[in-house]
Amino acid sequence: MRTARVGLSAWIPLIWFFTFLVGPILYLVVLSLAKKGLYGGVDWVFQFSNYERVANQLYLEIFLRSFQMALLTTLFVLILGVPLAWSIATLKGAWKKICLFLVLAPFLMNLVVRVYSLKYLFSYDGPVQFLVRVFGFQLDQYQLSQNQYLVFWGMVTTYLPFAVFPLLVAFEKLNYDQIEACEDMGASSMMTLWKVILPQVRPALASGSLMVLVPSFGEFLIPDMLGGAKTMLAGNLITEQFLKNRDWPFGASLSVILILLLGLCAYFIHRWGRIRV
Amino acid sequence: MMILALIILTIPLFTMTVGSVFEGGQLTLKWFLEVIQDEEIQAAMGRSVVVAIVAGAVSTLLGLIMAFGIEKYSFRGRSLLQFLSMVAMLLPELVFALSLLSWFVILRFELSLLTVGIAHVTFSISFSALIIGSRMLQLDTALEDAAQDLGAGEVLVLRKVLLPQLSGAILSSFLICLILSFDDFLITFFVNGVGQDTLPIRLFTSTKMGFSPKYNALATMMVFVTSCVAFLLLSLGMRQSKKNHIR
Repeated sequence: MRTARVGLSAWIPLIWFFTFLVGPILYLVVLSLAKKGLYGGVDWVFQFSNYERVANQLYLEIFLRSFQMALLTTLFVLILGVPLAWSIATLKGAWKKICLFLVLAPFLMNLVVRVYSLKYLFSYDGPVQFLVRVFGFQLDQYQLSQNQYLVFWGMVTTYLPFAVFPLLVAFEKLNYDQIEACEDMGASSMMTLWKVILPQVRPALASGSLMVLVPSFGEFLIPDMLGGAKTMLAGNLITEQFLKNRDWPFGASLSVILILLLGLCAYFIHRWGRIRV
Repeated sequence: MMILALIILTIPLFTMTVGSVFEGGQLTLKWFLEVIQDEEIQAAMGRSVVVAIVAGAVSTLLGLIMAFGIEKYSFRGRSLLQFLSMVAMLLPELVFALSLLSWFVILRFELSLLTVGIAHVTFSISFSALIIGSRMLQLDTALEDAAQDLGAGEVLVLRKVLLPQLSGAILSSFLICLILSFDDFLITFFVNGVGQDTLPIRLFTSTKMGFSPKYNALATMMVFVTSCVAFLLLSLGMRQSKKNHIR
């Protein structure tokens, strides 16, 4: 470690972060204490009424639903992602490359494109509804093209790669000697999984879940495009305050609550990932 | 389970691609032509590309500086910088977008492509620093020490010893930041100026109106571009890991 001239330039990113990250967040906190003006502006009267409003049952339910959705998404991502990461880690040669590519490409792909493709698949002009019509089933087209399951499918596929990559790295670094030793000593495979493999991949599991839970909690685009605006989630609620109701202070206070909740989740997951067994 | 995961991941994209080249059971490229000729799409494409290249370059540069600072030096504010970069990565996009929007509004900063670029750089720096920093940690410090022993100054070591070894990581970082910017919808949606739609926003607003094979074609083209970059990144990564293996 040295301290010198070139090292000083590290102040540049620091200043950047202060201007465009810390500043805005602090301002958001200040804004959350203000009051909505008569015509949609901001009245600088400091009070806590915005936070009192959040305690309304309606809003609490929305937050609870979003949290459920995020938890379920995380759970499903792990159910699908762990075997997927394991298979990719144990595959060899061309198949490994193909599978990696199939995960990496959607990961880098535009979110709108991905959600759009899913929407198209079930839209009236799309292949699924075409088949449904060919086979003569009677189904409401809107029920099929906009529902909670599609939102869920969109969420799971969107965040799956976020969990697969850290898990993949962990599985590839797995210490196989330990597993072998454990089996030689007569441990059952459940025992091996629990006592040897889990502790080794635990940090990856934690960071993977974190990478899924956090963005899926504040998701706005997926429920908006696939849910037919029927399922109000925290992300949509906050967006509406800013864009439709022009109640920025209330939107700000909802955002602050979102940050706090997610910070709490992040803290617990992080801690769980660090525990040594 | 793994097959199922891959299927639900890729099947919508696949059917969309197929849907974009068929018209009444016949293979056609008509929709692609229409996309290319659409002036609004052209303009949106141009804006997206410009912002992505500039944001990619700036965030890679800042990420490089940050990685140097964090990995090679100790200074006051080092752990603060690390913390902030973690915050930038973990902060929900929506909250970041809204806080930045209200920040720009209170500072009377006019919303334009510039604000979009600033936003993109802010959330890309951490990724860039992470990619470059992790490569930097793998480097053999003996080379650096040797150069210094032979009397090379700090800047010279940086230019002649470190940067050439980091070129692969710098390129990956640039590509990733490029994609992050090119793909971003949510943050752009909020901090963008009126009438300056980027490609994802254009696609989003058009799908509100209903479906057309034209948008399938547009989306397919975007899929194609991203797949190329993904492929490039993957082969870069494979080459790097092979090199490490030999060493």
